[in-house]
Amino acid sequence: MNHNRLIFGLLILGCIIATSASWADTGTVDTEIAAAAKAGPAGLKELERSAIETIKSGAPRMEKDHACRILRVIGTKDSIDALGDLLADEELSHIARYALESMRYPEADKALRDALGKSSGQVKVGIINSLAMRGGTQNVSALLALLNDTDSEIADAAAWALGRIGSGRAVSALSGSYGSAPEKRKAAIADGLLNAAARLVVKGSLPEALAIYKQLQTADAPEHIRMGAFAGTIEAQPDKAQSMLIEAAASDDWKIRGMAIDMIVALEGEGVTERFSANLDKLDAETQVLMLGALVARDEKDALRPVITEAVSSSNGQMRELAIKSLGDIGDASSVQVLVDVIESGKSDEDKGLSTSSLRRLPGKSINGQIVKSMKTSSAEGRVKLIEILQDRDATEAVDELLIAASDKDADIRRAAFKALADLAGPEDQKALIRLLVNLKADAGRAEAERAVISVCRNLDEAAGAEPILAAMDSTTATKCSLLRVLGGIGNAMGFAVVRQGLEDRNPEVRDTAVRTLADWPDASAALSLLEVFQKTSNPTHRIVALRGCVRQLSLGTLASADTLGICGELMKGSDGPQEKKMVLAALAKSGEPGAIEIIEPLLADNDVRAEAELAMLGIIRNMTGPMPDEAKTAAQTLRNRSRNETIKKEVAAVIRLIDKFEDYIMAWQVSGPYSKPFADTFDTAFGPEEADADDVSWKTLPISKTGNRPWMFDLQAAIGGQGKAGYARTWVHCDAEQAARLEFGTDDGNKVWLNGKLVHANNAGGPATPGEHKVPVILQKGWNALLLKVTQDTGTWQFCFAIRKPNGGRLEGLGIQASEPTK
Amino acid sequence: MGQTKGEGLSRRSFLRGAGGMIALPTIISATALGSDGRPAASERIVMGTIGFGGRASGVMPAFMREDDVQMVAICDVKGNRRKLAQETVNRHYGNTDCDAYIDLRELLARDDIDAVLIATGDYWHSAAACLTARAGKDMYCEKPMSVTITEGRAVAETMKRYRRIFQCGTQRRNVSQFMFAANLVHKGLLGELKVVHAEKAPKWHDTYETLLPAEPEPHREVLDWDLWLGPAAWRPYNSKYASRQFWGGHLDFAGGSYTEWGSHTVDLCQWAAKKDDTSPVIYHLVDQDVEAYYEDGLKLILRGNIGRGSCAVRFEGTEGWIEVDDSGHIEVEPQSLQSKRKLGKGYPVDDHVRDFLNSFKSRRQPAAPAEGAHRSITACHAANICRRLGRTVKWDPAAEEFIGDEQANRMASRAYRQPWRL
Repeated sequence: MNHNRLIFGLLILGCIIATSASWADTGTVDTEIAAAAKAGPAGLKELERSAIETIKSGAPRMEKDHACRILRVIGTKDSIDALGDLLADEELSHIARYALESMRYPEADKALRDALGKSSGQVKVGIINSLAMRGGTQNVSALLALLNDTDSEIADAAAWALGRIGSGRAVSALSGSYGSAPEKRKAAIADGLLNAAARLVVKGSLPEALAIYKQLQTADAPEHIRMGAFAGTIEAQPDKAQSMLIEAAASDDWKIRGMAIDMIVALEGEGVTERFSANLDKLDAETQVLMLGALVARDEKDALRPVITEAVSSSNGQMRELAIKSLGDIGDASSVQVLVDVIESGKSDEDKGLSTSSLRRLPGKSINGQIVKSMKTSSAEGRVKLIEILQDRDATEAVDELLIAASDKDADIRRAAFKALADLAGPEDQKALIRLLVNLKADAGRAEAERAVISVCRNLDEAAGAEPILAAMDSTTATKCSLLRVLGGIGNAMGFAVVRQGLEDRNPEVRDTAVRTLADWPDASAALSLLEVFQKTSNPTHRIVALRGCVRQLSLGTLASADTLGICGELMKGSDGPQEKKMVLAALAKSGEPGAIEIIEPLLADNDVRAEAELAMLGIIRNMTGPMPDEAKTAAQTLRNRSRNETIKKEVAAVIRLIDKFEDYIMAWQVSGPYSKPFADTFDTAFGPEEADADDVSWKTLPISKTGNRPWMFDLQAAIGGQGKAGYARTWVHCDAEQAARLEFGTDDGNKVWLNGKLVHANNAGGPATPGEHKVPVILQKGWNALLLKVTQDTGTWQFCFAIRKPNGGRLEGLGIQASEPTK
Repeated sequence: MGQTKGEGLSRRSFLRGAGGMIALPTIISATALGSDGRPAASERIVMGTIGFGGRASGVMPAFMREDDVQMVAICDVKGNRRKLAQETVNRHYGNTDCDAYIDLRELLARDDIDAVLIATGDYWHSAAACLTARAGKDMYCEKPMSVTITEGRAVAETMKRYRRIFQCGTQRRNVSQFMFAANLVHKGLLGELKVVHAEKAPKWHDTYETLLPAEPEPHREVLDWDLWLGPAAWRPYNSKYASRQFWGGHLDFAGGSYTEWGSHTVDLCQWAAKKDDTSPVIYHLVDQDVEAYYEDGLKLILRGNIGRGSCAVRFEGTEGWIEVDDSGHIEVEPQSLQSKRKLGKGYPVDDHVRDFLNSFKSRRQPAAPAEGAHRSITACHAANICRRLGRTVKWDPAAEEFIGDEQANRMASRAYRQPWRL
């Protein structure tokens, strides 16, 4: 076995092994050439010699095939004779051409030409095709002889090849035979001629190209040949191109018309936009729009702007729409009033909408100033639109004008101005805004004014935000109520105290506002005050407003669990009827505490609320499943025994079955990710969760898989997804006393583990997550222990499982698990 | 080697900013409606589908959802796919009118067909496109448009020669989150563009030329092996070849991870950078990635692991950057550039299909014409050649050849098996 056959044999074996495993090998030809190249020119020469020897030998077909593939890349003149010998071989002709076609040696042409005389049928067609791809006038004579071959496939191939070469003789022969050729052959010749003409245009031989195009522009030629020829006549006559395209744009043939207009986009020369726009009105309505579209696409802004501006008032709806839209991209300050006029008195709602959109994006620094100027002469409705546009354009330079508009007698203008000011006003405008709010004489615009003041004050520190409001508090009832709502919107401690005082105000309107403001408080600070209102008020409306507000704030989940349960307990005690109890139950359903179940259990016997109580209890059980599976299971068994609802029973049974599969794995986690950075290694890069002070890290509950028998194998791909990413999981572990333990876990792929902020393990290996693959002895401190796990992923699955066991691997009892950060 | 470039007209594309959002009129009037509310039969675009694999099962129905399309014929070399395609069309129209072909030349010979969807294997795209143009039909051709640089050039020239409408199946040019990102670059909102990142597919990084053991060749009605191979080099039949999971990384049939996603992502980078008429001039292999530079210094990085979803791109300018992908998640800096409207996610094909049909009727260039598709896939092929040779390669985008690199130039083209030609 020669060298090449040995390599080939090994490769075949390797391929079989590789494909049976993964289908991927390392690229046989590439790797052989790379290996040979390492030995320098001598190595490559030896590889070539070996390949030549193979194709000359009696080796099987696919060994010779492989040798030709190598010669395609590294073959020299030395290989041409051997390759040429294969050209007439029906089985190996193609693979020999595979090697020869891209070799830049004249000897390769000769080998191919010589093979024409030794071949026939499709093999010969292939050789002609290779000569065509190589090009070169030296091959023309051989091909000319085949132009009238009795084998039509050979003759067609020769016509194509001659056209691709495109020499004078080739063109002359093709042109000469075109008229008298049978129909089928005509297409092949025309293809060759069009090909040749295009090459003549590139070379600058325009008259010769034009002659070809004119010959092909006969009425009986197929449409695509006529179109190609027509386009060619224009390209071959640049001095006449504009006139010809103007004429063609009015053609009766819709394809010629469309093609001509498309060609205008790329037409070179001066004054194109001016010339074609001057002829717009001679076209029919639909063609006008296409023409205008082509001129817009040319993007000659200065020449186009007057055309577009005129088209804004066209009677053709599509023309107007295109013009109005285009003006948003190419317009300047002078276009503002044009667009404003459309907004004011456009012919259709579509026009008005497009004009608004164009004005929003019209580029340029002076545009906002122009819009402000236009506002002064606009109708009330128009001013509202322009104010909204200024808001969308982030036109902070318009704030002074908006402050004036905010005291306009027209309510819609006031509302729009305050809305814009909420986005655009800065701290320096705080007092002016408060003044506007205080001076409001009607309620129209009050809500918007309040939101504007809130927006500005939220960007100030607590005192600066609240003090000017407190100073304005001694005012009319309406204003005082407004300012209380503003304090509620700001939501800081200073404002809270004032609103809380409002509960004692002598004025019932103020008291009412105070209750509602507390109910709407943005965080849970007002929950206790609302409980108090709920318990003490004699006003039934205030009672229900307070209850709703309190339940909402508890549902935010920001209060300590004990506080939440305490308030819920009190609310439940004070609840009068089923409706109130149901609201409290809704809040309790989000808890994950056994104490919540204690509050609910008595209600399981209350027919008025039993259904809601069961649902709430199911919710709590689900929330407890990961952190405290034993307690969850006990509660689930209780609910299963007491419920009469089959659906609830089924759901609870599913929870119990799930818990039974948990073993001793940690089942309560929060997850964050995915993370990656360009060019950075995900394993080594410290992303947000690793940074002590990172404040932009977002965590969410990591769901437990409810299918399969391994719910403890967490699927990060499903939870956060991605390829080549890092993800983090965290939880807290509670110990009654310091003790030794062992972390046992598996990850897919790499991992890092921190216990109480200290890195205790790192491993960047890939592969599937195997339970207990990693074992790390640790000391758990008394109280809460923070556990952070990083799992990186290359491709495919992305999983982990994690348990804390005794140092000897035995089950460790008595640990508390909590996925959210324990309250201090 | 006989290739010609350059045109009498500049290659400035029909910018889509002006006309794209407005429904431009079509030169064929679609106002004459038939009794079912669709355009009358005489006004519909009569279409055929060539190749009905996984991709066509998504794209062909998108065509049939358009009222002004009538799918009348399908072609596939695999019997089961041929049957499924035919049933799909007939079920859609509630008739039995769809004809099925094994050989694409028979479908293309039909005078009543105006346009075709080409969704064959990658290595068939260019040959099928050239045959389609020579048959006088327009086409929506799946990506990548070529498996060699020479093929792509031939397709672009053929489309121009016959003034055919060619829409490459790089539909992300018509998908909102990618349009938004490109628009930020076009409007200069990221400042001067400095670096563009294009994601390669996570699979098929290591391409192969594996020869599988011969198996008995199936009956032509089951799978026409000679037609399946088409212009690719002959090899004995093995059923695994016809699985996309296999041929997607096989160099006889595809270009692996670089062309699989690069045909989309490099294309998006070139589109954003307004470089639809060129390709990078130098390609360096950096670990597993390729870093390339355009003539003006813009850097293109073809790499994995960008974004949260598939086919991610990242555009970095002097004043900001944006990263988008199929997940719909958009990261942009400065944050003020974040879109105020909700953008989409995924990579739906419907708008791209509609864009092609509109171009068919108006004859204006669609969103992904042949020249742009060729130039972007050229960058992918050059990057692949750089990777396979394991060294830097230099590219001349005007002459369209590698500079002083005989091996690279030979890898830029390959002879078609007879009787196929470009």
